[in-house]
Amino acid sequence: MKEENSSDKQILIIGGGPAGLTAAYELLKSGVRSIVFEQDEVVGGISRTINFKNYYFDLGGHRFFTKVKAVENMWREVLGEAFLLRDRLSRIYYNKKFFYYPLRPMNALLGLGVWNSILIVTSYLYAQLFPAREEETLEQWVSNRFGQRLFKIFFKTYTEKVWGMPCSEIRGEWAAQRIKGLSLVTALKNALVGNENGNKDNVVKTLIDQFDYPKFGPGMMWQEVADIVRKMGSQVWLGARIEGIRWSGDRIEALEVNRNGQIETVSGTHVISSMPIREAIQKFKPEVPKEVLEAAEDLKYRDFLTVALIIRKDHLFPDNWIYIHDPDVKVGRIQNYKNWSPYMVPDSNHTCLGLEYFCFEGDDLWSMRDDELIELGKRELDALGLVNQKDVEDGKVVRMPKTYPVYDSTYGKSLEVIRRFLGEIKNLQLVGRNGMHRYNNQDHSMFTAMLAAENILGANHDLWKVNVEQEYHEEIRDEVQVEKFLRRAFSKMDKLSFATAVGTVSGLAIFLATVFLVLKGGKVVGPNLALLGQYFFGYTVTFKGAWIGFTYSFFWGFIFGWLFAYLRNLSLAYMIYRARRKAQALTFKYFIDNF
Amino acid sequence: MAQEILTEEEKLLFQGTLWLNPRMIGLSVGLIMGGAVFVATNFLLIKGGYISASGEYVVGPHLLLLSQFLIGYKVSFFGSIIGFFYGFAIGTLSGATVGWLYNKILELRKRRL
Repeated sequence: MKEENSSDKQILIIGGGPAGLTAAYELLKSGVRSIVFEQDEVVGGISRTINFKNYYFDLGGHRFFTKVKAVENMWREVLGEAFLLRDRLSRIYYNKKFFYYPLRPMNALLGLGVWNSILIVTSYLYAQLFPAREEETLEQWVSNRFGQRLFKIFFKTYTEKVWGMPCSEIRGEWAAQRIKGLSLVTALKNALVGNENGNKDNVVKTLIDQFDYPKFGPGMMWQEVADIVRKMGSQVWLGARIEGIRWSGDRIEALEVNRNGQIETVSGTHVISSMPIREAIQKFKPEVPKEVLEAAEDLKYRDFLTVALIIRKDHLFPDNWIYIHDPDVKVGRIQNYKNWSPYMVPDSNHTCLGLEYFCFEGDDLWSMRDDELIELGKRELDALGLVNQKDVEDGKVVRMPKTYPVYDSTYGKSLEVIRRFLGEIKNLQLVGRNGMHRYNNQDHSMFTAMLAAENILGANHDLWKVNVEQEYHEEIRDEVQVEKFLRRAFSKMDKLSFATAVGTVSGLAIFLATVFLVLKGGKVVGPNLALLGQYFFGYTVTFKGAWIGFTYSFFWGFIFGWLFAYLRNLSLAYMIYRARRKAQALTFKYFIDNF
Repeated sequence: MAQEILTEEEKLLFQGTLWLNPRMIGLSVGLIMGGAVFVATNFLLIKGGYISASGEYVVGPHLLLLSQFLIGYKVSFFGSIIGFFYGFAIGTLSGATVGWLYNKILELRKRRL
């Protein structure tokens, strides 16, 4: 990294999460210093790791897996050998039983019982034969793919816990938007050029069975980045809350930062913001036009709290995390941090579980006292049959507002209005999950920040294309080529054309061979070729026979060609059918993991 | 059936028609045919022949019939190389013709549709 500040650039970065810190880190590589403003007392944003009595826990799970080379390189540069390669296991916990997803026949049969399994299969077949014509709601979208029964057991409760609204009110379009990347083409591609356990460059992100993970959780990564950034001359202000964003014309002129109750005004030439768009727009001074403000207020977020419980048990279940589909409890997901990394607990005789509750800031759950939440967590673990509440020794609650940007029916239009307005402000760039109101994972958030840093240095990237137009990444451009190849390889062969072509060439071959021998002459003309007459009645090695041979040969060639093309298409159709089934199964997995 | 689940991308996959590359098909068929003559000839050479009633050592009398069309071909190692070239030439011509004809017929059919 270059050490001196290269220019008259004054870079202000709002947010000390993965996006903000990545931007600061990348700028330093070109000698450009910056100031990062983080409103909390710790860096990492949603990717932070909390240390409670030497038990480490995350807010959600953060697997380190990416297809973006630059992000992978940064992880390695910063943490080097501190990464552990971990096996992934996550299952659905329902009715006191664990279920793999996509469902495995024996596991489902034993877990759900014979009668329930029959009903599931029947409802699945019904959905395949008579799907709902409209897919307006999420309920219809899922039921069309997996059947009503499976929807009720494995999708409804959990989805409603995560988003806090009935599935009948969530638009199907939302699911279609979120559950992408598992098309038939992708499944075929995986079948042909990669496999689930193989090279990770070749597989869809969520299919991996292993992932990298820092010894002490993702917070280790961001703490380290913050240390490097500070050492290299940039500043990271903790407990620094943005109170105002002063703008004029097409520029942001300064930020009003509240630190320890004191408001400081910090001027800058460039601003990178990862703070939630809604909040950012509300901080503009002077106020933004009314329609922009209304659009910002229309953006919604889902919030999240973790109740970490320390349990006097060395082993509870082998999963990294489990999804709780029982409707009788409020907990949505349970992380077992020890299974992410053994270093996350100080004592191997204890386990630390993170009970994750999805809520809205200010609702009943959010407003409960910490001790009440810990009691709720204990009761629910007991009710689920996972832990005897007497074994719970201690607990800690962490609330994380605005964890998930909500993609409801109006967010797209609102975001468009905001983007149009912010697009006019030349020295402001939005990055990260909340900064762009986009459900980015850590790697995409980092990548937007890297591109933002490059833009400051003179590049001209469109950050909104990251994670939308996949071709943006070079390696994914290769995948587009693979898709083109697949389309060609899986196209149907035209049976009639192929049959006619093969028939014609076969007929010509016999015709020419016969004529050649006739012209060549001899005592006995073509005695061996004449043996064809045993099959081709009426064929002789004569000019007339050449035409008869042509006709016979054309006929058989035509039959052979037609059958060849038919069988070729049939085998490809079977392959497509298998891939389609697999894609459906993977959609199940993707839905549970990402929706 | 569950038609509604198909994405645009998947529809393209199902609706596409295969166009052949005559050069590649010609080359492939040519190599297969040339290789077949070469291997068949050498297989007979290694297997060995027999002494006929007239005291002549005979190897592969039936394969030798190819020489009626492939002038210069013999069941010998040198003959197998000549046979390879003949096989390659005929195979290439046949394969390329099949590919070319297939594309032409398909083009005509598509134009009519």
